Amino acid sequence: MPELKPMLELKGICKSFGNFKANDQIDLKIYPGEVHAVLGENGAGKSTLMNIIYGMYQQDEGSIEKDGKTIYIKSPRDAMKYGIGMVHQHYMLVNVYSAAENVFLMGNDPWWKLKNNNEIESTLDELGKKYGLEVDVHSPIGKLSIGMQQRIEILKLLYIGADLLILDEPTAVLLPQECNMLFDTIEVLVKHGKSIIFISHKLDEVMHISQRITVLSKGKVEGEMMTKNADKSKIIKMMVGSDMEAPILEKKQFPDEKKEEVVRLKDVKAKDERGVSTLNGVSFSINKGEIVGIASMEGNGQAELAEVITGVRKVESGKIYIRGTEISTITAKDFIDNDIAYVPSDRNEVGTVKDFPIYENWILRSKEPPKKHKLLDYLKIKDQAKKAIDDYDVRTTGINARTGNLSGGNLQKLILARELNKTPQAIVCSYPTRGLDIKASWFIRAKVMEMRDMGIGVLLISGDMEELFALADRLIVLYRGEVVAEVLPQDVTVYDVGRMMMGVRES
Amino acid sequence: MLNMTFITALLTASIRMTVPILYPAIGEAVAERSGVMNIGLEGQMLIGAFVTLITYNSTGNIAIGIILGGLAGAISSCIVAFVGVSRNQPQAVVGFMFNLFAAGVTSYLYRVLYGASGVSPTVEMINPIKIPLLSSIPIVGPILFEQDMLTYLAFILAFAVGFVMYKTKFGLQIRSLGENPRAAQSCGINVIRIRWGTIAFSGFMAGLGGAFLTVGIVGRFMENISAGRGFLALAVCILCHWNPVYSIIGAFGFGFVNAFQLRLQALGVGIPYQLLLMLPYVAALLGLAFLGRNMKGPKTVGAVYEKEGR
Amino acid sequence: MIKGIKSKINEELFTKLFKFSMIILAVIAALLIGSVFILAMGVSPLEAYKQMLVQPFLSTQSIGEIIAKATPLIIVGVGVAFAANGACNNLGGEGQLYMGALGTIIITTSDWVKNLGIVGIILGMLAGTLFGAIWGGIAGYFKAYFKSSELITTLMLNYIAVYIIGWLVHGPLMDSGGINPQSEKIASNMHLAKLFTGSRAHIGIFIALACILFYWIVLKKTRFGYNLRVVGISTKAAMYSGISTSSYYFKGMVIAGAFAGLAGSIEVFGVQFKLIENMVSGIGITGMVVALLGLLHPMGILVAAILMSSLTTGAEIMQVASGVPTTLVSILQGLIVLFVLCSFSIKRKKKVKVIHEGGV
Repeated sequence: MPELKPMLELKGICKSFGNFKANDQIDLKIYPGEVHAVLGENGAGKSTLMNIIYGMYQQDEGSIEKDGKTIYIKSPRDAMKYGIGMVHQHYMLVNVYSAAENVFLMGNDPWWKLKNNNEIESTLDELGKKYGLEVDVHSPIGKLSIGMQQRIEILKLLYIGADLLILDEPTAVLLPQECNMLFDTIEVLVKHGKSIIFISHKLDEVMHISQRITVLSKGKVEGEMMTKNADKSKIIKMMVGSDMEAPILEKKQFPDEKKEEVVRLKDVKAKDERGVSTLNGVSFSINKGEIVGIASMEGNGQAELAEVITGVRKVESGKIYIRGTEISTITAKDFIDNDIAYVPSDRNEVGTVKDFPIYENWILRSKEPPKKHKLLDYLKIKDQAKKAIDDYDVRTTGINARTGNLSGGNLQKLILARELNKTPQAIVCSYPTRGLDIKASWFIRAKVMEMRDMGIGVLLISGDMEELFALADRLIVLYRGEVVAEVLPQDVTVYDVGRMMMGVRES
Repeated sequence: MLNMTFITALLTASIRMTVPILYPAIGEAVAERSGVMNIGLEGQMLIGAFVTLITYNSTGNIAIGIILGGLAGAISSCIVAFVGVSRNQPQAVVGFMFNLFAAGVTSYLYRVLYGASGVSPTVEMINPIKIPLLSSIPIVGPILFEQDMLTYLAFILAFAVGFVMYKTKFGLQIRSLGENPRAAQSCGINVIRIRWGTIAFSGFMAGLGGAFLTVGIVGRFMENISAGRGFLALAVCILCHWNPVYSIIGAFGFGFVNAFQLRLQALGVGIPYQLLLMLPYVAALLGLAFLGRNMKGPKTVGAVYEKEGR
Repeated sequence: MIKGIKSKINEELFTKLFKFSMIILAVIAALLIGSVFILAMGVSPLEAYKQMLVQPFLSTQSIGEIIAKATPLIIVGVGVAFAANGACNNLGGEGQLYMGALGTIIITTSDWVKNLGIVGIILGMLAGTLFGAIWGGIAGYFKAYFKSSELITTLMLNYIAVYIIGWLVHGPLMDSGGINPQSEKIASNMHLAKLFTGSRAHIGIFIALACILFYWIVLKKTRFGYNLRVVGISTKAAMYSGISTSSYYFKGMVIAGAFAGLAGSIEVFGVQFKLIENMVSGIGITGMVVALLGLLHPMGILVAAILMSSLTTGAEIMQVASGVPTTLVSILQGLIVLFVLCSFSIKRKKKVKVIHEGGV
């Protein structure tokens, strides 16, 4: 069989943001009619590279060749001209527009063309049928499910005639069943001759769907191979950088007598920003010294649940009890005063004030910061902060460093240190290891176990099944804002829980 | 007092007083829909009014004066575009400081050219154009169809701009910048370029509004000729939901109050004129209180946008 | 690691020096452009600038004038800075100043306060601060509960305040004895003592300095100041921390109005001794400029206020000496701020880009 020529080739791509080198001499060859996976940990440089291919960023060094000729991609318009399209992790859709309007936005019509929804809608319906993509082209995007939004994104690219589709972490927010639908779609696309770049950090997926794999780590290409020849353990080594085994977290049994209730929710209902009811009557409790894991797909109420238990959001109805006493849920003050700690999923925008130095972030959400004569005692505060960054090995230039400059792992350690310093009764950890590299994730998980062993009641919200199963004493499954199951991890499998997350009730 | 002549005269004047608020309101609607705030409308109106005056003085032609007035507004608004969009500085501050600068420049140059106590030159006022047939309609005819070119243009533009914004691809693109500029960028739309354009457009409109003040209402230039109309236009923009066509209603509301207050003064009704002058601003304030709640405007007005950011 | 610390210290120092030198450059650039305008008058820019920038410091009378002008600027600047730390752009200094002056006059010309001397001054200042606080509070309330932008509400309130004052001094508050549209004068035993003879400078400057101190302490050392700053940077972090953003928007605007009202009051007691139209014209806007150029820093505000008042004093000298209109100052102020803002973004490009989670 004659050697196929790559339809797109990247040579020596380099890109830095300030002092941080995101891409370092990256070579990549994409062949037609193939799924090429780009595999790497969070922070390895995958998205930066893809944004360069798509023209959102420009590379500092290196070249891009299409069918052997050097091309310059200065903007997404150029990328589209060369038949390159991208489905970003955060969908590039205007929420108030419908699918048809979003496609119209992207298309090649001249600026004065009148909006003709019907025409586009019928074209989209046809395309959808051809590629087996089921979409709603009328409704505003904001009202559609994440899975459907993704299909619309793909359809958008097909509408403009893309030959190369870049999918950036497409399964991150999909249910297992929706993932299978995506894989089917990818097979259909490949059959029609399209090439796919599939970006992921999930090895199993990548082994399943791709024909070729490139492994990125810390901005460099660590390895490139055909999937059928791939060796899983070698790949893990390349991604992580060393032969590391995840530390086995032993679950100490907490003596039953001490399992008093810390937090209890009774029929709690809450709305989200848009006024839509997302928590529809949730009741459960968290005891001292246990980890309650919440398993749910994004958008099923877990975000509002975290906010309601920590006082950041008020309940529409229902009651919350802390150590048996009913709590007013109008302000967060009562929750803070009752020692409910919170490690939020958004480290930079919520958990810290990114322009403040570490020592000023130290007193965020604090019940009673050290004071001297009614003024904040910064000497004491700085001491505490200093001790914390030493104890938790937070890599930084000092307590005067802006927290916005800290890396994800170090920032999370700082937040954890701060929250634990408040000797909380209960703590809510929302997606605590999201976006962290492996070493940091293990550290955080170990800390969560420590909290449990110290007798703190932990609510763990996570999208990582492995994490939930490893850490939780009890699993609560949320679907459409309701508790649909409460199980022990040893009694169920990951797929069982996946089905429950989709609303299938166990008989 | 409430006889036909009074009402007709009142309404005719109201329409005229609507114009200097309507022009900048339309421009600002477009700008804010694209995600930027041009607080400098007031200054651009002053510049437009001033340039119209000096152009008329050197050429004797109002039409050229008006066009140059509009262009001056557009060109000067590029300062706001540069510092507020390209350099990503807080647009409210940029616009406000621009107003300070523009007020200073126009006032200073006026003194330079015409001296502190010297002759304050007047301009030929713009002539009303009677539209045949339509102006013969009883009552409504003289009010609506005996206005001047700039007035007709304002209303035509309100509808034309509204049409472009909501019915064409261009309008869709502009509005997408106000909702999700990142998504727009990924569709190949040049966010920065379009925002420069919308600001320049709002500057042009403000300049036209200022030109109208000179040739259509006051007859000459004076310090603070705009009297806060640029700011009232901002209020109209929000109250009328960033829709150029609805802005006609808002601008008319203020124009009416303006015209009414002038007539009350003339009639010697006994209410101190300052309190009457206050009415438009109080109305705007109350409007914002009761109508401004829960207004779902373009999401990203004024927010920082970095081309290679997240 | 030592190298890291060294470069970090240098980086912070570097940033501060950089910011400072950018401001100097901005001033120079503005002056250069200003000279074009001066030439348009047929005057030599060097002459004019000598009169504007050097002369004011050569006589005690003009130095006194600088101090007199700086006094209200400092106070208004502090108010604007407070609000700005809490994400509120107070454009309403003008109106709040007038309201403060109004409140002061109402109290001090009333029969039971008229003869109270020092106590009268204190009561008058309290009244002025209160009136200003209310005026600012209206905008704050609108922002907190109606979600209306304070940009527009404060602007509207400015015009309303000016017209109210206009009405009052032409009518109900007009000095019964005189012909001029102004209020009754305050009693002579309620004038703030002058600093030295031959100028308008008065002891109000000490109150202004106290305001700076107050600003620094509250902002940096109290829980309130901390909470305000959190609200100003991140509403999400504020909610996380249990801080009510609407409550702090309101408080920020009330404080801003209070300071502006106090400034108006001090103008009455120290300089004007009555209520009259155009008495505080431009101080509100210049106060904003001062807060901006001072980078919201207490020392910065002080320096910027002195800079601005020197410019204004110098401009008056220049107008008398060579006829260059004082509106040149507005041109210069606008240009300086715009140039300074441009320089901020140059600094931005050098900042280390944040390492983002979830897909770099």
